This record gives sequence, C-alpha cells and structure tokens, in this order.
Amino acid sequence: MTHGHGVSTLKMGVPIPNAKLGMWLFLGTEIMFFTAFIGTYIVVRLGSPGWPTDTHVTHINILAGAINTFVLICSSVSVVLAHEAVHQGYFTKAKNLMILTLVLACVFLGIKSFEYYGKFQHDILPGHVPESNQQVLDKMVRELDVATGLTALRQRQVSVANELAKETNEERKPRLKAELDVVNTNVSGISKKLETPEFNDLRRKALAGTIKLDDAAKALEKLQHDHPEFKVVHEIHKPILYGNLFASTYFLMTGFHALHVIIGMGFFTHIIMLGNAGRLGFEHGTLVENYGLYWHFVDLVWIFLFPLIYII
Amino acid sequence: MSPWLIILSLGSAAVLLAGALTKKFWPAFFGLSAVATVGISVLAPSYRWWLPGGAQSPMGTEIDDLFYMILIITTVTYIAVHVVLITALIKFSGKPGVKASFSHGSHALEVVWTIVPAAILLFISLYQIDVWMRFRNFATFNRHSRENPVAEVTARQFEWRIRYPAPGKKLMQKPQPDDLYTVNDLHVPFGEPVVIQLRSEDVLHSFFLPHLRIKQDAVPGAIIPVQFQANFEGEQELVCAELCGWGHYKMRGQLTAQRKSEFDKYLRDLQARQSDDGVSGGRAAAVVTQATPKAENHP
Amino acid sequence: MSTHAPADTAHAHDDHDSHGHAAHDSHGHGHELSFFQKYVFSTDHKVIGIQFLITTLLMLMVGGALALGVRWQLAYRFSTMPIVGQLVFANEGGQISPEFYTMLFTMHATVMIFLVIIPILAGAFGNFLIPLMIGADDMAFPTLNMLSYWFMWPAIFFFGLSFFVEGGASSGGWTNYPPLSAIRAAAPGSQDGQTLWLIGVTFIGVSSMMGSVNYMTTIINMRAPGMTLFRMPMTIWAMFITAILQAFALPVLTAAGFMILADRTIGTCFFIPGGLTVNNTPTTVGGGQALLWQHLFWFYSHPAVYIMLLPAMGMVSDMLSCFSRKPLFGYKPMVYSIAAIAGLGFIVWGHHMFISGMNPALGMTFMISTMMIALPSAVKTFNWLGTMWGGNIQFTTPMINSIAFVSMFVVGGLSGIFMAAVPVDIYIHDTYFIVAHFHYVLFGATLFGCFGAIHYWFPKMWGRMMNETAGKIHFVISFIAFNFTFFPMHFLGAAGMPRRLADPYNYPYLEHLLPLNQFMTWSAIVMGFAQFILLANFFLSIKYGKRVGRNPWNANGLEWTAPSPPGHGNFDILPVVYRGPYEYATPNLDVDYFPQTQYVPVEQRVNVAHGH
Ligand code: HEA
Ligand code: HEA
Ligand code: CUA
Ligand SMILES: [Cu+2]
Repeated sequence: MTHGHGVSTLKMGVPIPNAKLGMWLFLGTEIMFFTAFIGTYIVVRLGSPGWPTDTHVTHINILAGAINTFVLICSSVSVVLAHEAVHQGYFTKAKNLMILTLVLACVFLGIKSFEYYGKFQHDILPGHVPESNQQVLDKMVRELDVATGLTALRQRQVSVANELAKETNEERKPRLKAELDVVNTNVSGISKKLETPEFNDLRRKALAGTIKLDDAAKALEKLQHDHPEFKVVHEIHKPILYGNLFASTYFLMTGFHALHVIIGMGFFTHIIMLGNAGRLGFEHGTLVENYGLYWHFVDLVWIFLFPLIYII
Repeated sequence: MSPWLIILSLGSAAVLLAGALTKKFWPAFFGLSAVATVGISVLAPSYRWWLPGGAQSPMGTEIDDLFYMILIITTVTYIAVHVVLITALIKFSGKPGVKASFSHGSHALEVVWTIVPAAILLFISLYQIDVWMRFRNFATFNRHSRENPVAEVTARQFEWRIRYPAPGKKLMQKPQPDDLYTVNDLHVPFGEPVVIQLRSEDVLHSFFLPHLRIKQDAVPGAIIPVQFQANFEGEQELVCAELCGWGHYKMRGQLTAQRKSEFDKYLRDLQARQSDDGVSGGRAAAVVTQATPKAENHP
Repeated sequence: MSTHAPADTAHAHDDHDSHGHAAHDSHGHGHELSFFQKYVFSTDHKVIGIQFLITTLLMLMVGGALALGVRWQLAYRFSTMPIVGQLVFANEGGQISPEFYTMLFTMHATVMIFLVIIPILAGAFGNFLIPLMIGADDMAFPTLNMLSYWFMWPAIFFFGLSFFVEGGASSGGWTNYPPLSAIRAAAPGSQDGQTLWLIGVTFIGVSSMMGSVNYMTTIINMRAPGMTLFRMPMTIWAMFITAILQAFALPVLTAAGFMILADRTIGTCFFIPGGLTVNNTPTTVGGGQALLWQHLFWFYSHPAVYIMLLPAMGMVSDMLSCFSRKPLFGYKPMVYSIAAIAGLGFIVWGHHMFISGMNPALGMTFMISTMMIALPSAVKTFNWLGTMWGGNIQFTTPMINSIAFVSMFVVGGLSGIFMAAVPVDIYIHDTYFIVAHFHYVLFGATLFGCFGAIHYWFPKMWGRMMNETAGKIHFVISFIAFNFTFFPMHFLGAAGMPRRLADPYNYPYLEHLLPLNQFMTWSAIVMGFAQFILLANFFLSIKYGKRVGRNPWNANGLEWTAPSPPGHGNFDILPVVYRGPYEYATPNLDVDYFPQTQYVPVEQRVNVAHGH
C-alpha cells in the first residue's frame, strides 16, 4: 500500500517538538504540586485564629527575599540569552551565560542558607517553637537537662533497667545491676559543677511555672555567664502562637523550591560540561530551551512565594 | 435453605437450560442475573438483611423516606436499563449472514436521555437539602436544646467519655469541678431534641447511632454539636464508625433514652455516686459536694 | 531504523516509505539487542505494556490473598485461616489479630488500587495500545516509559517490606486519615510501616506521572496521518483524558504525602491539631488541621476513581462496537461525556467528607456536583445500549465481559446515587454499602472490562488466541461469585454494619449477619480460585493458543493492521487513516467491517457510506 493521496505524510499534532511539549506538560504537573503547598498555606493560615507576622519574631528577612527575587529574575534573563546564543551558534557565549546563570543560582541558595541559618539559630523550626509561657519554660528545662547530661543518663537508666528486666541469663545479671547502680548514682549526683543552687532554683520554678519569662531569661543569662556549658541552651523568647505551623509551611515551601533550584543547577552544569567538552551544538537548542523553561517555572514559583511568605 | 431459595435455584437452572437449548444462553444468563438481583432484594428484608428496624428518631424517619425514594428511582432505572439490555441481547444476537443496522447515533435520543436523568438527579438533590441543613446547620437546631447541650461526648482510643453538667447547671466548654462523668454510657431524655457536643481527644472517630440514623465524625481540634431526638425508651447501640486504630471494632457505647424525670434522677444518682468518698455514705457526700466541690474526685 | 528514530519522527517515516520492509525485518537494525535490553530493560512500548500486565496480574493475586484474609476474619473471626494464613501471615499463627486485620484491608486496597487497577489500565493497556491505535512506532519518550515501569518495583518492595518492620504495615485504611497516620503512637501500623507506605505511594506517583506526560505527548503529537482527534478510538480518548486527570490530580497527593511524611519525621504539624494526647504520649504542639488531609487526599483520589474507570470505559466501547458489528452509538457524545466526567471529577471530592464535619454549605454544593457527574455516566450507559441495539451481537469472551461491565457499572453507579444524597449518606457512610458500591465499580465494571480487554488484545500481543471455552468458564464463575460476594454487601450496609471492623459481631444488632458473611466469604474464595483459570489460560495460550493472523476479530482499528505480534516499530508501513474506527456494517461493502486504513478510490466513494 502506498500513500500520499493528498494526505500529508507528516504526523498529526502540534508544531512543537515532543521534548518541548513534554516539558510544558511536566511543568503543568509541577504547578499542581506547588498549588497543593500554596493552597495548604492559605488554608492553614486563614484557618488559624492567629499568625506570626512580626519579622522580629519570625526572623523573616524581607530584604534578603527581595534580593533573591532580583537574583532569580536576572538568572531567568541570562538563561534566555544563553538559549538565544545557542540558536545563533555562539556556543562559547552560551556556555558563559550558563555559567552566569549557575552563579546566580548559587547566590540565591547562599542567601537562602543565610536566612535558614537565622532560623536555626533562633530555633524557629517546626515542632520546636513554644506556643505558651509554660512551653517556653519547659523547653528551657529540657535543654538545661541536656546540657547537664541528665537527659542522656536518664535514657541510659531506662534502657539498662529494661535490659535487666528482659535478661534471662543469670550470669549476666550482676554486671547489668552494677551498671545500673553506677547510672543511678550518676543521676543523683549529676555533674556537681553545673548543678548549682541557681540552676536547681531556676529548674524547679520553671517546671512549676512560677517564674516570669523575663526573670527566667535573666537567670538563664547569668547561668550561661557562669557556666559556658549552658551556652547550648537557646535564649528565651516570647511564645509564638502558631509558630510551628508557620515554620512548617515556611520550610516546606521554600525547601521544595530550593530543591528545584538545585535540580536546575544540575541542568546548567550539564550544558556547561557539554560546552567545556566542545560538544555544545545547534542540536542542543531544544535542550537548552527546555532547561530554560524549567528555570522560568522555578522563578515563577518564587515570585508567588515571596509575597505570600515574606510580605503578607 | 428456605423453600424460596430452592425454588429460585431450580428456576434459574431451568431458564439457563432453556436458554442454552434455544441458543440464547447469554441473554438468559444476563437476564437471570438481573431478575435474581431484584428478587433477592425483595426477599432480603424477610431475612432481616435490611435497615435495623424503623428509624427511632424523627430525622431518621425522614432519612429512611429519602432512602426509599432513591431506592424506588434507582430500582426503576435498573429495571429499565436491564429490560433494554436483555431485549437487545435477545433480539440482536448474532445470526450468520445478517448485517447490523448502520447507525451512528441519534441527536434526538441523546437530548432526551441527557435531559430526563438531569431532571431526576436535580430533583433528588434539591429534595435532600432541607433535611441536610436541619441535621448539620447549627442555626436550625431547636433553640432550647442548642443552648443547653445535655452532654459533651469525647471520643478517644477506644472509648466514649461523657461529661454532663451538674443538675441544674449548663454545660461549659471547660470542664467544671462539679461535672459528672461516665464512660461509654450516654443517657438522654427521650421525646425531645437534644444536643451533644462532640469532640475527640486523639484521632478521628465517628459517633454513629444506627437505629437513629445519626452519624457524625469526631474531629480532634474541633467541637461539633450534634442534634438528635430519641423516639424510644430504652437502650440502643452507640458505634464508632471511623477507623481509629486497632481497637476500632470494640469502641462500643450505649445510648439510653429515658423519661425526663428519670434522666434527672440518673444525673442526681451519678452525682451522689461520684462524690461518694466511700466513708461517709453517698447521701451525705452529695450534700457536701454541692456546697464545696472537690476537684480531686473527678477523673 | 524506525526503532531508533529520534524524537523527530518525520524522518523515521520517510525511511519507512523508501524501504517498505516487512514487519519482522524491522527487528534487524544495526546491532543486536541483548536479552536484558529486549525483555527486561526494554524501551519498546509493547514489552513494557506486557511487563505491566503480568506484574499487575500477579499483584491481583497478592491483593486477592489479602482480601481473602479480610473475608476469613469476617466469617470465622480470630480463627486460624487455612493455607493462605500459613503462607501470608504465619507469624500471626495464621490467626488474624485486630491489628493485623486493619493492616490487611489497608494493604488489600493499596495493592488493588495502586498496583493492580491503575497500572493495568494505564500501564498495561495504555502502553500496549496507544502507539498501535494511533499509528505511531513507539511512545514519545521510550526511556521515560521504561523508567515508569521500573519505578513500580520500589513501591512493591516498600509495601512488601512494611509487613516486616516493627509494628507491621500501614493500618490507617487506604485513605490514611491523620492524626491516626501522622502520629507514630496512634497505632502499631503507624510506625515505620506507615512511612514505608508513604514512600511507596510516592514512587507509584512518580511512575504514573512519567507515564501520563508520555501518553499526553504521544497522543497529541504522534498520530498517524489522517488520525484526527475525532477519528481516535474511544480507548485513546479515554487514555488521553485519564492521563490529563492523572497529571493534574496526582501531584496534589504527592505533595500531601510529603507533608504527612514531614509531620511524621521532622516535627511539622500540617495535619496534627495541638493539644492532643494520643496513647498517653506528650501533648502535641502546633495547630494543624486534620481535615486538610482529607481535602487534599480526595482532591486526588476522587479523580483517581475515574482514572480507574475511564480507560475501561474506552476499551469496552471498542469491544461493544466490534462485537455488535455496528458503529458506536453517539461517538461525539461519548467523547464529551468522558471529558465531562473528568472535568466534574475535580469538583466533587467533598462527597467523601459529608460526615467529616466540614462546612454544611459545602456538603450541599458537593451533593449537587456529584449528582451531575452521574449525568455523563448515564449518557455513556445509554449509548452502549444504543450500540448493541440493532447490532449483530457475537457473544465472544470479550463481549460477555463487556456486557457484564455495563450491567455491573449500572449497579455500582446507582448505589453511588444513594451516597451522593447527603442525608442518606449520614446513615450509610462508612458502612458496607460503600464497600458494595466501590467493588461494583472497581471489580464489577473495571476489572471485568479488563478481563475482556485481555482476551480481546491477546492475539495482538502474542499472535495466538486465548481459549474461548476457558474464557467463558472463567467469566461465568467469576460473574456469579462476584455477585454473590458483593451484592449482599448492600444489605449489610443497609443493616448498619460499619466497614473496617475486625469483629462486627461484637455488636448484638449485627450478630444475625454472620451466616450471610460466611456465604460471602465462600463465594469470594470461589471467585479467587476462578482467577487461576484466567492465569492458566493466559500463560498456556502464549505457548499453545491457536495461531491467528493480523485481524482475528475483523475489527477496524489501526492496531489490527500491524502484524501480530507487531515487530519493533509496529507497522510495516506508515498507516494512513481515512475514517473513524467504528465503521462496521457499512452498506455496499462485502464485509461488515471497514478498516481505518482502507483507501477507497474516488470513483467508488459514492457507493460507500461514510462515517466520521
Ligand atoms: C471506579 C471507581 C468509582 C466510580 C466510577 C464511582 C462512581 C461514583 N461514585 Fe464512588 N467511590 C469509589 C469508586 C468509584 N465511584 C470508591 C473507591 C469509594 C470509596 C472510597 C473509600 O472511602 O474507601 C467511593 C465512594 C463514594 C462516595 C462516598 C461515600 C461515603 O464514603 O460516604 C460517594 C458519595 O457521593 C460516591 C458517589 C459516586 C457517584 C455518584 C458515582 C457516579 O459517577 C456513578 C454514575 C453512574 C450511574 C448513576 C449509573 C448509570 C446511569 C444511569 C443508568 C442513568 C440514570 C440514573 C439515574 C437517573 C439515577 N462514591
Ligand atoms: C480494584 C480494587 C479492589 C478489588 C479488585 C477488590 C477485590 C476484593 N475485595 Fe476489596 N477493597 C478495595 C478495593 C478492591 N477490592 C478497597 C479500596 C477497599 C477499602 C479498604 C479500606 O477500607 O481502606 C476494599 C475493602 C474490602 C473489604 C472491606 C474491609 C473492611 O472494611 O473491613 C472487603 C471485605 O469483604 C473486601 C473484599 C474483597 C474481595 C473478597 C475481593 C475479591 O474480588 C478478591 C478476589 C481474589 C482474587 C482475584 C485473587 C485470587 C488469588 C488467590 C486465591 C491465590 C492466593 C494467593 C496466594 C496463595 C499468594 N475488600
Ligand atoms: Cu473510634 Cu473507631
Ligand atoms: Cu468520589
């Protein structure tokens, strides 16, 4: 059977290469992926009676976010220029523009890590934020106990006791018992050096909730001054209502965005390596364009995240 | 085996045999399946494979009515579709040398069979809204019962904790020292609408009164008012209908509906028992408690 | 050459034209493929399709064995289960504990939905049929296609592994509502088993994602000349719209899965409200929303139930038309109703949450949208009837399975109307009525449709027929046993028997249902064993089936013009399409079929009626 009776021998479809069409469709699925996060953010935020918006409390740095927005937009421009350069056959120029894009992406991640660092330092992490006065004090006690070594000892105590209870071999029991005794004496005589009267006083009052936050902060500061070992205890800040939910959404959204940035950096490295090997050619036009499309998407997500998280 | 079943199976065998003999086995097979489906549904209630008795609350009765209405509509639809299907199978089973009719469809038919079901479906949904709003919309609840919930029911793995206000008092959101507590045993006055405040302490549960056709999920972090009216005197099951862990199947409670006077007496007895310190005798203690509530008596 | 055609397909076809080589020659390009490249890590859509098919059939066994565990417990509670008990949960002494029961139905549903129904429709039939039916030589992205198959295996591995970790497999139901699934202390199965479940579902998600992007691209961009959109078979339309549904609904589940994973591992609190004490653990902090998961989950999983139905609808339309020897009734309304089901499918998710305590006004809107989604289903049902009416019906195995599809779908669909009515759903929500509903649509409709499709396209896969008698015996036993197992569930539901109950007879008002449940269990066992007939027929026919040529059913579709089995690259020559796939019984033709590729010279055209 031959054909050609006025029917085009070309395939039916849209005049776009498969790879590019596939990329567009993939980005459609990505949009839904981030829509789920952004939708969640909106729902939990509107559904919560309160939300921490004070940047001193949340350690959100609007300036850093704004700079990052600018950096990403620049990188989107450079990636477009790189594609243009491949199109016109200026492969070295294309490679250099790709390097520029990669550097801009690194700058973005650098600034992002600086912001993350601030949050880690103040312990604005999901599940770590006290939301009531008592939680502030409890958290301080918990960290004090870790600093003195009490927590570790207690855990040891429990595990040795469990082992002893389970042990059926009579011969091994005395050794376990002896160990338990040691642990027990250690628990009672825990680090004499750290456990001073001030320490005990602060700990007791905090557990009972009979101390004001300001006073506790002062006492803690003094303790830390006298015993540098207590420096690991986070400074006391006011309870942040809905701080955990805030931290959850913040880290999830920016985290998945950062992951996409890192994947994009992998793409750029691919092109740069092709360029270095001297193999970058016209046939990579669609590839560079696809990487660029992806990068625009990453950029676009950020343009949504920035006002949502930083400004509103 | 009941005689019905024997007759049914013999009849089926006969139909299939006749079908096979007349080269109409498949129409007979599918026809039989449709007839059997309808037939067993007709028989089911006589085996008590059906609603557990008539609904014992006014809302439940309305729900039953809606259920039956949909049952009628769907049964008619089912029969109609199958009559057409089986007729087609009989009339048009393949004969050698015959060509099928050449038709790509009919615009008129498409319009008809879009609009008719659309009308039916729209009718069903609009017809249901009222009952739904009365079940779920707090504002439509009976004013008195809305303002005086009988109890707070807190679900937890795997029991129902019930908190009543002390006789003569209102249920407060926060537990009060003189509140009364029971586990898995909910008493309400019958013949009047009552409201309970439903909560959960850990995971999702669902407050299900099958005989009253009432069901509401208990959601941690939320307080959901549920209104119902018991139209019976006595005890009924309270079931947990939302998977809540390994013990979900045994999270069983009881609803006791009693005369208002008996209900009040029940609460007073509960109060007496609860404040009994085991030494001074229930009665004396009750008096003491009313004067000076002792917080430590309450779990 | 067609094998290694670059994405730019126009070239490949020029090659075709100039060489015009026979099918089996098309194997012999350039270099030999190793065994691994040919059968294991193959990028040929047909091999991948068959890999999917065999994998899902095996998974059907696994899911079925778990279901039989469920059924055993419901009939003979807490007693040792024969054979399967020893094989599958010997460490429980073959006895089902309440904890284990929750794992059984959770993993039964997980396996059936994520490893059987979705992959058999999209993965197996989608892969095998799409390029053949649109006249392409392969998928747009063959390597991605291969990956999509291999991404299923980590999921199978993690699901399997989860039975052996501390606490056992996930036990929150396949819906995994938090906080039960988010807090480790809430249930034994909420420990590592739950985490593995989430990881497994993520893998499945990625696999489906790759598949659907591939299908969409292929269908949009790689159709043979003349294959306009409205000449595509219903199967392709269904696959196309399913892929769209999948692509835009699934990422939401993936995202939600990450959130719950984060809740479980790094201390976030999206779905965990503050102030809970679960199983005597410290009070939770934070203030998430438990219902949020349900919204996200059903935003995917409602469209997913149509993902689990539409391709079967498409394939059944093809089979019904072929074996009625009559054009499909109302082709365009059929296409539009698939599109409408897909579109409406995105706005009805709330009907799973009527009783969850969400805003009552939402309940109302979701009820109306849900009722409206029955409308396109009605249109489809009536068009199938219209297709058979006036036909010349041939009761082959594919046909009887397709008729069963229509009949069972109507039962399952009509029970959906009860649940869509909110007040009625107050009572029947979370009872066996629901269980009846979805087994009717999932097994009664989809799986019978798949049984039919397996018999129908088997000759294309292997060049041999499956045994018709065995096929009919399998059908009769499965059909009867299926109805015996699942129809009584409507009655259980009406009697108020809640689902997911390890021991329903704990409640006195359900005690009298025990004998009925025992009857259902034995029916299920019979049904399970009937599947061995299918398996035996399938595997034996590969070797011993009757050899047939390209078009054993005298059907019209493009796939029947390719050799059976098609070689690498599918078609001997690029097919050109002149009409739609349903021109059966065209007047003035000697035969009662009229293949899509058959060219009619101009001077004869007046005599031959033309369809679309
Ligand atoms: C393939 C899968 C599939 C399909 C196609 C459907 C189709 C439908 N489903 Fe179903 N559904 C499930 C799978 C499916 N469902 C699953 C798995 C669950 C449970 C999940 C879980 O909780 O575990 C579920 C649960 C479920 C619920 C939640 C119940 C609850 O938990 O309380 C509801 C409620 O509205 C519902 C409704 C419907 C409706 C209205 C349709 C409609 O699309 C049906 C339309 C078809 C017809 C109506 C029949 C043909 C039409 C006619 C013959 C025309 C005339 C009809 C009339 C005039 C009435 N389904
Ligand atoms: C496509 C989906 C699908 C399919 C095909 C099935 C098939 C079956 N299901 Fe289904 N089921 C679901 C999806 C499905 N199910 C879902 C989504 C749920 C909800 C879960 C939840 O609540 O979270 C559910 C829940 C569910 C319940 C309710 C549990 C409860 O709520 O407590 C029951 C009870 O009877 C049940 C029974 C069955 C039976 C008997 C089959 C039979 O059809 C199975 C027949 C058997 C086979 C086809 C295989 C035969 C194999 C052998 C006999 C070989 C033995 C194997 C070895 C030795 C390795 N299922
Ligand atoms: Cu509580 Cu189920
Ligand atoms: Cu649904």
